[in-house]
Amino acid sequence: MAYFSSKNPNKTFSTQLAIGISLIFGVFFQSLLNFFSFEIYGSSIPITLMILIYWNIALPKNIGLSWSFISGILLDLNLGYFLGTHVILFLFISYLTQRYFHRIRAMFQIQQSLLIASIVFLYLLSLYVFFQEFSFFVILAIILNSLISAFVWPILFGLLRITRRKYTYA
Amino acid sequence: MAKEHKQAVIAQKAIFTTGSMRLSRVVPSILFAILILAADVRFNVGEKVKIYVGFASEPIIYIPQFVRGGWISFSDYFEDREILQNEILRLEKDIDDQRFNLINYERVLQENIELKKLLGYLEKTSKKEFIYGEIEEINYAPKPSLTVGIDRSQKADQMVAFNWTGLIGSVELSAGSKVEIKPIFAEDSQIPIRNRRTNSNMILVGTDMPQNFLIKGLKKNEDIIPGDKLVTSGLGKKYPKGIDVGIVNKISAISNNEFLEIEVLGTSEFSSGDQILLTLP
Repeated sequence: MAYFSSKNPNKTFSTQLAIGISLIFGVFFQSLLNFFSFEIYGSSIPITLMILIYWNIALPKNIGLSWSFISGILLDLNLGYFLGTHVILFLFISYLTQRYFHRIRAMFQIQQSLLIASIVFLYLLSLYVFFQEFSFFVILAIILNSLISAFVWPILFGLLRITRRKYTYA
Repeated sequence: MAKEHKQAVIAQKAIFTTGSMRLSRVVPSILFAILILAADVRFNVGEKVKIYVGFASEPIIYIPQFVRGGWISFSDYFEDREILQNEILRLEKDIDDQRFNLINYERVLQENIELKKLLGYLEKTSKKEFIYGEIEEINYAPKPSLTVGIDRSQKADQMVAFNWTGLIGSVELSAGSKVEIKPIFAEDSQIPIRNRRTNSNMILVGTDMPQNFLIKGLKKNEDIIPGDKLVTSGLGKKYPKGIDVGIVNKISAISNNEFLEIEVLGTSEFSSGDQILLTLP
């Protein structure tokens, strides 16, 4: 907790830089998946969302809501959604994860993965319900992507944890 | 144990703990986002932004294409390499085959040369009976000899042997498909010869050393000089007539002896080549 209350400008800058770069990387990666059509029925694993969730759990006081806004806008622009679509979803998910980050942190890895799968499922479902055509196969694709995300989560968690420890602690 | 207990306590406390984030903080942001969304849906506000962002991020769009192109070049390079390696391996195998063919060809060529020479020697014999054979074994002890393989149905008794270098000996033993050749340089062999220059007859005696002979019993007044060519005289009917056997190499005169001691260098090499001609003189 001492870190969160720190007013060291160097630490703040490196933390924001790490968050920003990782999120931009997530947006870029997701755009690449979209560009190369590595998608199942039009949906792919939401790497940006997962990165955002990690930072919300790990450094809730540093990330705030601005990064959710920025990454949402960037994703809308890149993926061709209406402006604000991802922003609303990201803000809502950020709110929940920042609100209950103590509980999420205390979870076992497998519980976290299941939670991530649920969040991803709801996120993809809401994108489909409001903005695309809906079918039985779409549901299957969303379930599959949620499961893949659950498997990817521990890896992503580990990588971002290394990044956090290396670049945000002085 | 202490660490696990601490973790459990933290987890228990966490269930009843919430972060400092309040709904009142997020609602304005969500409302603002909804406003943007509504503006984009109703007035297509985002279109211009997307166009500008598209222009700004145009170089980024080419990155995947660049990566894909690079990857294709990279894989092509290794595919080409693999093709080249396979081609090199194929050519190396071809070279090995050609080397093997060349060795075979050289062997056949050598056989032909030998057979041609042997045919020449056959012309100088009676041509009554002759056998072609191949050397199977060369023996050096206790005395030098050759074992030659021949057709089982033919008899080689009393025949003389030629290889491509000349007269090399006579048949000593014939058993089935094998013939043992006694060399002409054997210590107990005596070959009637004549000096090609003077036509004088003499006897060539073996020394048991390859290509090394002696002439004994020639008086000091005999007309013989180093370099004289010696051929078989055909006397005694053991060896055919007119076959080169050697050249006079050295002539020694011992003071208290009335005879000359003459060393002769043999022209034929006993164990050379593979083909052997056995013929009656």
